[in-house]
Amino acid sequence: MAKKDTGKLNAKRIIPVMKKEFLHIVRDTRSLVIALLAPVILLVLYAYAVTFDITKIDLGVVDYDHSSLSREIADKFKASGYFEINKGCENSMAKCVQALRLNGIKMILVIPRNLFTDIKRGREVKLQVIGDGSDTNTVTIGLGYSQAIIAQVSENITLEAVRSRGFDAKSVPMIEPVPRVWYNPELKSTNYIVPGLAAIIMMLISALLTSLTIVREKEHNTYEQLVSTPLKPLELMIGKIVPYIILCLIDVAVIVAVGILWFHVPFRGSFIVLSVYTLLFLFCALGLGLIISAVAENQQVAVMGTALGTLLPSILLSGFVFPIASMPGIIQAISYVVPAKYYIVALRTIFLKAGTGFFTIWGEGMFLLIFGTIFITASAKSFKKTID
Amino acid sequence: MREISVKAEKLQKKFGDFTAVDSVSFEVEKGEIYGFLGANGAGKTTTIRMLCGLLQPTSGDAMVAGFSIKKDPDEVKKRLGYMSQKFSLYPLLTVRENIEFYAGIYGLTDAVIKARIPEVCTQVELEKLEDKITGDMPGGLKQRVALACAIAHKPAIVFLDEPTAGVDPILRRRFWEIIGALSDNGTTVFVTTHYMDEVEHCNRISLMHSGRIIKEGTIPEIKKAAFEKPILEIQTDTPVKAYDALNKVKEFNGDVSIHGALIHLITGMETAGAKALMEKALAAGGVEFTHPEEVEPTMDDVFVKLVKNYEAK
Repeated sequence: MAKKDTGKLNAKRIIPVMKKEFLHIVRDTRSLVIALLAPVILLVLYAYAVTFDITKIDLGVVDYDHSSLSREIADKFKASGYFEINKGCENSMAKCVQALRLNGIKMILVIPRNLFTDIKRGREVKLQVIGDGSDTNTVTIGLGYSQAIIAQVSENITLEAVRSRGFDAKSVPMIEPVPRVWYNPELKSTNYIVPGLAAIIMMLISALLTSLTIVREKEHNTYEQLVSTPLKPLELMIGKIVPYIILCLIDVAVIVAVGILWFHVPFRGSFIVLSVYTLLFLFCALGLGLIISAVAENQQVAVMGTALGTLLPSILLSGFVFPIASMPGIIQAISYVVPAKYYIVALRTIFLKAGTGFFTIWGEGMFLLIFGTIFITASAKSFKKTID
Repeated sequence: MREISVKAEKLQKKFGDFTAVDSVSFEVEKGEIYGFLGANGAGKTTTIRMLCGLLQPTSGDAMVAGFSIKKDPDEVKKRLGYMSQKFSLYPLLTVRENIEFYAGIYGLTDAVIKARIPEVCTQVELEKLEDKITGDMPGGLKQRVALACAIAHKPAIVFLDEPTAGVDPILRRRFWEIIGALSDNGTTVFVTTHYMDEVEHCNRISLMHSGRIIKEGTIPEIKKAAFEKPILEIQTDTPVKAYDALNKVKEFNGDVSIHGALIHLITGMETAGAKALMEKALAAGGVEFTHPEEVEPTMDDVFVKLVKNYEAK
């Protein structure tokens, strides 16, 4: 057992570590370029790829009616922009079913015979909309679109019927919802994908950068040398983390600039609040990287550990895509240790909501601070004072 | 007055069932160059690592610079300089930056470090190389940079673990001169090596074999312990003939060995008598020879003999 260290932290010993680490970052040009470019490239690449604005759903239309009304309905689907009507299987139920099975189309709209005449006679008509349940997400959204389109057609028919009986259409009582989406009125998914993606990318980059630092000491045999000096583990960890915080702050600044200028994500919050929460997040993320670094024996293990330990949890358990509130309790509990979870909330809030102050999202800040402290302390503990 | 820098008492280190160092005790005086000689795996590195606070002993203890390595490893660490087998340098930093870093973590102030760098670079003969990137330097120079880093904070004791491994003979000689100067200034130097010839630079040595010290003392003391009687040497063109001739002489009660054109004769007799008897025997055998003289045993001879003696016990 190593003797418990009772001495105080000494800045005189931390500063040389910072300086040395900083020089190593600057001189290792290749890694530096990667560290500075990777976030931008990843953001641009994935911000285009990850989108929830579903359009051009392949649709097969089987029109048994061939009336002006049935054509109007089909045209409405096409004109909405959400659907792409597949010509190959038009008007053949057998072909449509085949196409659905082979992933040629996602949905089938079936318009029954006598639609027009039944409507004229004032009867209720049922339209069949079939969806491919193996692509639940697209179909759920597509069904929503088709319900809205059909409801609109139906409303027009109702109003027409009212008018034809000599009533004023405006006198028909109706409840109409007036939806207003605040902070992102057009519901542009870029506006919330970009801040989320920024958090995930920074989680990966920052943990990766630090996870390599102590491993590199082991590979250069400087680890043993450091253990032979009076340098304390916590001094080493702090000295190592500060230069990386600076490097990662530059990364965040670049990413935020790309988000605002390239993707036109509105930035309504305060840069000071953003900086503070970014610092808290980096403290936490870099601490996690240090733990991986202290445990891993070589660079390959460190990279694997970081990728597995940060990437998947940050994407799946952070609320980036999948709402945490709908997860089972135990998974929700696990999600608390995912630093990206807090940073995603912080970034989305600071970006989109005007007037976000330090205390609007203080809960996230507290968690980042607590976990950051735990991570750094744990990494210092795992850096032994002896080598056996 | 004798001042003790290192005092090991029954120091033992076990890794599982394997005993790497088996209760070794020794003392090193201040300003001495103390050598640990032994084959790879003899326990030298494990011993040095315990003395530097890198490993905790399984049992026993050692006082280094006045502090126990068990109770006050941190105090010990402040007072020593350590140079490990592989030169532990940051390859992307310059010589100056490496020294600055190590001096810095020993708590030296910037002003002191600034004044110290030219001093220490002169000491290890690295003048004008201060701003070279260490990763680009040859092994022999890296070795000196590593030494500079280990002594920048003026430690009372320097531990050098196989400092000359893989360095060419000329640079090795220069290195030992630097070590000599260091010890002249009162620094205690504790060094391990498996180069037998290098121990000649040490004031006192310990021979280590399978975790134990099998002999300790000055070089003459150790040679004496290995070979009580002198070694006689002759040079001849017919070594086999000479070997046979000498082996016939029962009175020698010793050992004859061939080393190329040289014959070594170790007898149980005094030098003068043995020499006369040898010349007589060779003349009788019709062997022509030159350079009859008494020679010192090499450290190789000594080491092999002592290990044999130890294992025979």
